Amino acid sequence: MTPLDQRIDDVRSSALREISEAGDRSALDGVRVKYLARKGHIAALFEELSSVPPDQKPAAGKALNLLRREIQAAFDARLGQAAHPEGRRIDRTDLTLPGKQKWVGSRHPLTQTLDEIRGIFRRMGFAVATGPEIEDDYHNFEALNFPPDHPARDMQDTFFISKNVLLRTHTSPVQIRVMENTPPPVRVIIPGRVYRNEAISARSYCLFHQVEGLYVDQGVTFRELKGTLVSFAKQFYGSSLKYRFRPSYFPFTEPSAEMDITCFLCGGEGCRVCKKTGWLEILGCGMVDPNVYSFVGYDPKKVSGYAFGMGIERIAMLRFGLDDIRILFENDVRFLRQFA
Amino acid sequence: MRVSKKWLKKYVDFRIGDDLLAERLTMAGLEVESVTSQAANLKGIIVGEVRSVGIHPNADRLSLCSVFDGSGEVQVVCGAPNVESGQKVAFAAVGTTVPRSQHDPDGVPMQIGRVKIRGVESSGMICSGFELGLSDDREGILVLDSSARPGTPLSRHLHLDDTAFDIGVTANRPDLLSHIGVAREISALTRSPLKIPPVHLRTTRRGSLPLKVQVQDGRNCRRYSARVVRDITVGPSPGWLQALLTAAGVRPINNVVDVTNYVLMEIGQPLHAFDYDKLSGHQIIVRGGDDTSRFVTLDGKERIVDSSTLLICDGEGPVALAGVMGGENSEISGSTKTVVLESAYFDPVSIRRTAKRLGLSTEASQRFERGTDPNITLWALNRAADLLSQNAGGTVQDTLVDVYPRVIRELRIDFNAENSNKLLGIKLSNQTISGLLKRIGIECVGRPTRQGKIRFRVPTWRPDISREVDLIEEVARLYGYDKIEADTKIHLTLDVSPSRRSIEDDLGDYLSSAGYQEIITNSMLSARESANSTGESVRILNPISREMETLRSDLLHSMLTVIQHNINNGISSSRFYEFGKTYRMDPNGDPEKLGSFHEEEKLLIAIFGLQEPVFWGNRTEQSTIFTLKGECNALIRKISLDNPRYIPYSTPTALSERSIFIEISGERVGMIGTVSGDLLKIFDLESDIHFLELSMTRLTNFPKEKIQFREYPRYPVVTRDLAVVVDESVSIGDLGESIRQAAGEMLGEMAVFDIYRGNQLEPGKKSVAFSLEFIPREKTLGQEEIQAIMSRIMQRVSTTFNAVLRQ
Ligand SMILES: [Zn+2]
Repeated sequence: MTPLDQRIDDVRSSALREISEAGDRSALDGVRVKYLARKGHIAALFEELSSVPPDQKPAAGKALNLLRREIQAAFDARLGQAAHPEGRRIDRTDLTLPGKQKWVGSRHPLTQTLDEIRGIFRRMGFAVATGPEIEDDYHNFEALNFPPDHPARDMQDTFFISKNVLLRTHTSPVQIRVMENTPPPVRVIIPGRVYRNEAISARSYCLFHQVEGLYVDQGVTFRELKGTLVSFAKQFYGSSLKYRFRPSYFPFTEPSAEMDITCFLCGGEGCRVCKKTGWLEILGCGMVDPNVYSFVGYDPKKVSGYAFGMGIERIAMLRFGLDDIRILFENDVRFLRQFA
Repeated sequence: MRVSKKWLKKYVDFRIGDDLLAERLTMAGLEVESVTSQAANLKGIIVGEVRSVGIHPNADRLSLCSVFDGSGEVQVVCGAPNVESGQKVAFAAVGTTVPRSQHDPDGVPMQIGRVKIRGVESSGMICSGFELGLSDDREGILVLDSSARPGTPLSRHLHLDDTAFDIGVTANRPDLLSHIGVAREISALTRSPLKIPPVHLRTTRRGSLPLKVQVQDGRNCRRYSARVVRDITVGPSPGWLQALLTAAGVRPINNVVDVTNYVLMEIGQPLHAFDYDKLSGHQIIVRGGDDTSRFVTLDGKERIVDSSTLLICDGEGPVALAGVMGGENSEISGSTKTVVLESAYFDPVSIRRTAKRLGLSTEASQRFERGTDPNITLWALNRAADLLSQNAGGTVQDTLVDVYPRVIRELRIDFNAENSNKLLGIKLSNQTISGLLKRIGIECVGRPTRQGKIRFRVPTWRPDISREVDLIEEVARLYGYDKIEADTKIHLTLDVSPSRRSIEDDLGDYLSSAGYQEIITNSMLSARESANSTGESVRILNPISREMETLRSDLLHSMLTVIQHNINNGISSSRFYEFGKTYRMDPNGDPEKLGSFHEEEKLLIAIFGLQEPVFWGNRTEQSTIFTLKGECNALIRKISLDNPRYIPYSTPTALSERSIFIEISGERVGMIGTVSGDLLKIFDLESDIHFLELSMTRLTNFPKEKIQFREYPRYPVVTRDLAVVVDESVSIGDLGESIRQAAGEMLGEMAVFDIYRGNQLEPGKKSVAFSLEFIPREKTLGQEEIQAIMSRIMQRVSTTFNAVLRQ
């Protein structure tokens, strides 16, 4: 037995004895200070650890930790008894019994994602507008500058109800409906369900949800479009994010752009999710094409504006680390519970 | 569009790394989706020599080969039928990765390990063309020419040192579906000039073969150019041509087809080669189809041609679907001696309609429907003729056909820098703008007007540019979107109404805190599941499957699907809710009119199993229809609407065993029910499921009461119990209603806390105990006053229901 072991034994027996002999709380507190406090006996023993030969250090450290736990437990137990002054009946209720549980519910992860996006744009002065899912060709395509027989229509595989009536492929027709019913200026966001006739797989589902934004006023610029979306992205993804805007094509905006942010999964190094590019595409946007204004009776010489749109599933999947879109529509409680 | 780096370098001299090039193209709107280096793909794969081929002791179809890898021999088990001793082969040693697995349907990469095949060790693999990504041949191994030196990297032996860029070309940019188009962008990015190779065509006048071309449908065929090349020998193309095509993802076929594909990939002009000798009357007629007829295309499929289809015909009938695909009857074969090369400009809409109608999308149709350059047909024609004479031994006849009655000229667009600057929020001078646009071939013509306008001439390869705003986009693109600084000052010129939370938000938050789990389900269901009592269900003309051919008319079916899924996964109690739309169509409504369709926003809550988690302190009850009746009160109160009225309805419906309809201010807003046995059976469910459905559309229409403080009586509340005995037939709802009326204004909350039947009572009687809460208005309620109210109540219920006070 080493000298340290010997002293550990001594401290143990004296501490346990003094704890059991302490008659009231103040006496007990004195024992705590003597042994367990920062300058107590046990702390002093820990300090001696540095002079123990290296090969014995692990064993000695273990013994000291054990000592501390033992004394603490004895102290806690005694404190529980001392809390009741002599003469009062001790309550025998087993307080380790479980409490009365409640069901815990949650909003769907898609709703949570949408709520957050909507909240940010509301604070930036956007009102919320909605529109029908069953749409006509005019609002879904033509008035958005998709001419009949134009290859741009291939960008969105469509479910048809009849020749003229379809399930909207994007929330953009609500832009048209808002402008048809409101003279400029308008500033709205438009959440909603959209449909695409694509094979169901881990990466695509026959329907998904979008949030669309539209702002038309006098003198709205591309710079302001960038500013608004950067501000949104920083509020949603964190202010240190890096972003880029690159040219793209949407029939109803000109110029059109897509916004990427640095992949937050790999920090821009490149990974499976960002397809090794280090960038994640988060939304499409652009300046409202003048042809759209002529469909809704706005004067393109007087107003300008921007529109943007993003897919809520994609954003939720990136945010929560999901790699299969179908799980969002399966509604397994083991999945949903994770979002409580 | 896949472009080859070597090929691009023929037109523009750029010296930037692959990754940087990819990034700069992406930032210019040519999104590079992947960069593939051929050498990297074949890394570690070397030339091997098969030294001996023996028989596998345990398998007839496998052979046991000894492969020399340049330094030593290894034993390899091979399953290919064509392996022979002495062959030079592509060898993947243990540890290397072959680009495509032969056994995987998607052909994912596969790493070679040391394995035992039928008991015999195999250290490496002899690869097929498929596995190397060099061809579609999975049957046999790739045999290299005998000059190959064992140990040499395969990519070096095959000169596979090119890099391919896959570019996602947007629908508005047909010009980018070619190497020259992409090279033009690279030239603009790197400021290195674009060099389009001149064509020096040598033609002959001797022994001219006749070719008559007649364009009958000049609206859909705006230009038709053609040439005859004779004395060709069909055979494989030279290596350099095959290598470039392969790098660009085009499979080499023979020198004639390869040349037309080469020019297509070079400048984006689709060409077609006909066998001259198969053209009846040596003539070509471009016309619309006359009647519905059948025609076999190159892919061996019979196509139905109608009057809207633009056709290329010979003296007898169709030989090609213009701009889409050629016919079998005029196809180039191994014995073809003379070809007619076609280089045309077809109307985009006409080609698109035909391609769509036939479900036939080809390299040619994709370009024509986006709009090719009508003014490159001759260059492309001559380029192809020249290549044929060089690589297929052809002689080019000097007769050139070029039917182009109305020339399509370059557009001139007036441009005002002020408009551009206003839209983009930057300040660029006329000079800067002209300089930017010049890089992509858009030249300034004339001088600026007094108002500062400039005029630009837009080349015909850019059909997407027809307005000033289209030029503004090009300016922004070439200037660089990233150089346009973000403006975070958001101007607020709008009257923004206070952003009030919607009823949906309020209810959703309430339900989630009350332990309900929100779900979101598919709104497309089978026709059976969306059968509807209030109208016709909405049918989809082109559904993904029968299971999704209609839009739902209630939320219950998709809810039950979710419950079924969870019960099957061992969940025995749950509570769910969904906000969603239901859809219907007017009976006999016109499906072409939007007004025939109706969408209603609904909330559906469903519960099954225990009311709350089990607890040791008391027994936990199963959920009942009354759980939801109580929840309904809370929900309605949460959104501060009038008290709901409940109308019980005990006749079963298709959906529910029993129902309680909910009315607010006289309007029906929903129902509470227990899922019918029939429906449970369909979903193979056994537990009772209760549901509450509310029409959000209707709830939203009620004027929401504004919360306004009212003075409230500050005297202590007095509670009294009242138990009465009534006939079993008396409805407790009616009894309660009667008590409420008799009690008058002072009655606050009223609850039923006990119902007793049994031997203390006469048969056919029940005792109902109410707890009544009185809120005094004036001063503390005295015993006498309460007694007076209680007597009034008793009097009323004994008169109406023959009730007796229970002592
Ligand atoms: Zn990443």
